[in-house]
Amino acid sequence: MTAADVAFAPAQPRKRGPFGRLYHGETKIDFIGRTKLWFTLSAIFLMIGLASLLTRGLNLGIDFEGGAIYQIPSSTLTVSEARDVLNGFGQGGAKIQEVTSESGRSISVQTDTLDPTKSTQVRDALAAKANIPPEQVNRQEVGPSWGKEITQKARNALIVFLLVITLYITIRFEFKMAVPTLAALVHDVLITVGVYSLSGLEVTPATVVALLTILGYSIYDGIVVFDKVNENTRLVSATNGVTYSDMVNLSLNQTLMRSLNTSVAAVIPIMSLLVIGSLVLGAKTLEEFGLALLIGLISGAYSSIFIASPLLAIMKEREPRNRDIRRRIETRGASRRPEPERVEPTTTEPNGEEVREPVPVPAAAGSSGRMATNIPPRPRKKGKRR
Amino acid sequence: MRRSGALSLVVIVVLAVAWLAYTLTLGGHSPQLGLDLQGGTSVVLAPKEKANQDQLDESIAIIRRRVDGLGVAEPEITRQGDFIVVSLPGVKNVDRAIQVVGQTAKLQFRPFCAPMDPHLPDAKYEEALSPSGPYGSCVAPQGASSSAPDASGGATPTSGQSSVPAEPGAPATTGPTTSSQTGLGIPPHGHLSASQTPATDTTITAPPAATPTTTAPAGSAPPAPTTTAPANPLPCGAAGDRASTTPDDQPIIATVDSKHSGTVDGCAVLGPTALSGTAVSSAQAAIPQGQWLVDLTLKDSGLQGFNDLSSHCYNKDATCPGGATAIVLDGQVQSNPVPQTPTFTSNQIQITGSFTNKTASDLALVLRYGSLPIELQRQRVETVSATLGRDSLHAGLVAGFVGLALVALYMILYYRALGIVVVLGLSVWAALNYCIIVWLSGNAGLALSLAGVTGIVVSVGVTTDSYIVYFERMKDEVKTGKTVRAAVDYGFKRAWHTIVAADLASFIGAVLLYWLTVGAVRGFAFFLGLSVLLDLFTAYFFKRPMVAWLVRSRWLTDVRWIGVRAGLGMDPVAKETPIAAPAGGGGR
Repeated sequence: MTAADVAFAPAQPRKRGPFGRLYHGETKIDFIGRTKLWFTLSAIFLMIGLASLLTRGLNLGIDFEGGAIYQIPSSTLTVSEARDVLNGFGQGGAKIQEVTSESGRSISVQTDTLDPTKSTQVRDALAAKANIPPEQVNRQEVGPSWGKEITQKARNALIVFLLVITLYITIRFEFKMAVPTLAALVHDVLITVGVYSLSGLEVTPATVVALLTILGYSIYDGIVVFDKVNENTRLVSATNGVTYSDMVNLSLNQTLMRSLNTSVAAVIPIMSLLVIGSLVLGAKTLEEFGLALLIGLISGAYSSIFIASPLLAIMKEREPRNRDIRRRIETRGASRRPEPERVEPTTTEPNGEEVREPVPVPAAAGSSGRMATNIPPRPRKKGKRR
Repeated sequence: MRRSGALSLVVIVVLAVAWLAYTLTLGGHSPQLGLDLQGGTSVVLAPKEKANQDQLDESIAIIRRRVDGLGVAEPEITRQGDFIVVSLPGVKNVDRAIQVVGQTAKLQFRPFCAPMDPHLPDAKYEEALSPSGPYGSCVAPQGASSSAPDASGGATPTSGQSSVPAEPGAPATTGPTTSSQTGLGIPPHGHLSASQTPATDTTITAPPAATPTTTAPAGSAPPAPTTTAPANPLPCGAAGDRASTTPDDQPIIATVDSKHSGTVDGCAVLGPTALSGTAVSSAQAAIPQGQWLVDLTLKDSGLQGFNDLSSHCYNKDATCPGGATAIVLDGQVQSNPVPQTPTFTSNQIQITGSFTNKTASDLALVLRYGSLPIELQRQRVETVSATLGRDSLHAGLVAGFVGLALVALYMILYYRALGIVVVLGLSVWAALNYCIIVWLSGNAGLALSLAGVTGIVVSVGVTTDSYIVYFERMKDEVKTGKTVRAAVDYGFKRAWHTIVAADLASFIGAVLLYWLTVGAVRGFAFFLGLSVLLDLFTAYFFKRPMVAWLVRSRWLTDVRWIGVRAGLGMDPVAKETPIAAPAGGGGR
């Protein structure tokens, strides 16, 4: 049967507000048309981050720099008392902080690397000053070579990770989809590192963990969008009046709600870690994880839409076939203004029916007099109730 | 398909509930916690110079032995790349633990004075070590070789039960450049003849000294105190405990683990070191005549010291009344061969006995290791007090649950009835995740660390996403005019594709991280990977059948505001009824 005999118009598609359109995946945001804007925005952020990285560097934690941290739970020990103790050991430059957590107040002291005997002496002296047994002092000591090792390992892991992911995406999709994914990854990492450099937040192994997770998210996000792009590729044709960029744009709009929802679902637990775990309950380690994750997650959601996809469009538009389609559409578009027009795309429905149906193509929303950036949803067909 | 769907739904729910019930009641209850959550000390060690696999594994074996000696509840010693990570939860004397763990293990050749029972009172061991004690000149610090010939006086209680069977292989001079034949096992007094013929290797023989460990002294009278005195918790007492740190020129009480079972079953009074392990040039297990043995090659410079020792022992003189040499690694006797000749002219020495392939290789490994001991450097030491650990755990758990609840709430608000699937799915996912973690921590020594908790909290996001992908897909499908029911199956097919692609990428990432990194990152990667796999599992076996089942209920599907249709952004049914009628007629 053809849809034509039963053509039912959903009367007038109900007017939806911006949220309604978003909810129904009917937004027509021209992501691709404003590629330059997104790239410029990202470039600015990256430049700021890089500049800060070069001038200010990163505030590396003791795991990278070497050193020792003592945490002395005590309600009485003051910062200046602790300072006195450390001056006695020639550690005048020690960082001393008061920390309040769920189980009470404590003093945190960070010194340079000390040899084992001295380290124990420092701990005992601090404990004595605070009037607590030495075992209650939390101590963390890191030799200077450990940081080098873990940095190197993380870097190696990163490189292998990128290679394998490139391979995976190339096999699963195509190489031209791997490149934008990697670009988005690098973007996210640089942004996060930049934020850490700018804010002077301490970089710990937890931060590295978070950074690596971000990579996972970023790829995950990108793949969901690209999967849709892959599926929509068949829409690209001159008869449809759909260029590759249009199709990417359509895919982005279709997956926009999912991207937003996913980001919300991912951000909620992380916010919970940050706000409840760290701020309310005072577990500082959770904060280390949470912050980097939050920054990276937001950057990842941004980059999969605003960096990876436009980049893919740019790369694919260079392919002869897509260039050809674009040329044909543009010449036709030029000869047949004004739009709107109706093209009749042939879509193959999954159940095998060939449906020819009129698809209204609204006026180009995009720039450069190009054709529509969006294919509106196909009208409902009925008679398929199972 | 529908039936198999219902079946898998039932199976998975029953599995999750039953396993959770089992875990909470009988098995494990809760996972073993990492140090950062439980409190304790962790030490990361790395060899100063590049070390090979064997050396690192041997180091780990040594460290494990030392840690066991400390009486730490559940130590965890793992190799991560070139690093050795030692976790000591609830260790009492932190400073000592850190010191003990990081020492360089030394191999020594010492004269064997006499065997002793383990678990004797400390005073007994101290007495044995005293130059004025029963072993006089054998235990006299190097240099001083006094008389005290009463060494053979039999302070050793162990009456030799001649359980040491004489073993194959004719004595001496059979090997190529041969020299020594060995008796292994702690030779009982007066039974040196037995060990003259190559006796059994320590691994096989239950040395007489070992048997009485728990069963109280066998026959001979002298040592009265043993029976009543409470068993010394430290094997070979405080003296045995400090053996690995005792300077070379002092005598020691070494531990003996004759069965290589990890438990000390005997002690040995040993004189000061005659030759250090660095004199070993090489050692190999070999089987020249159907019997495993160890070919030991000494450095030329070491031969003199070796001959000094062997001549004393061969003659059983006062400095070596036991008549055997002891090869000691890190305070534990690895083997105690009896020299078959007073002096060796070549530096090629054979150690024979009833070795098996494994025991010979082990001994050769020990000798080789001793020739080039790895010096381990402390890379990182962290001590977390129990309170801090509890705080972090508490905060992580609370944050996790609040996060989970908020995500669930959001999903219900957004997807209405379908949100229930998310909530139930996350519950099943969480229950299975918990059970697997408990099971792994019981069976594979996995400990849940703070990084792991974070990994799990983070994977809530990934898991939820697979629902979102599915539901958004269904939204797309109903938009093309499909019914809700049709969208369930068709949407899943498409969504599954995406979910697998995305989850696989996450999983690859997790595997690589686990494989290539150390410390916290590893724990994180493990739990992330586990959660991702579980997500795939629940997506296929729970999510789809559950949604399919849900939409079979007309009410849940159609009811305004909260129904599935509302969740998918479809118009309420009432408005569609006029259209629905022709649809029914127009269908095929």
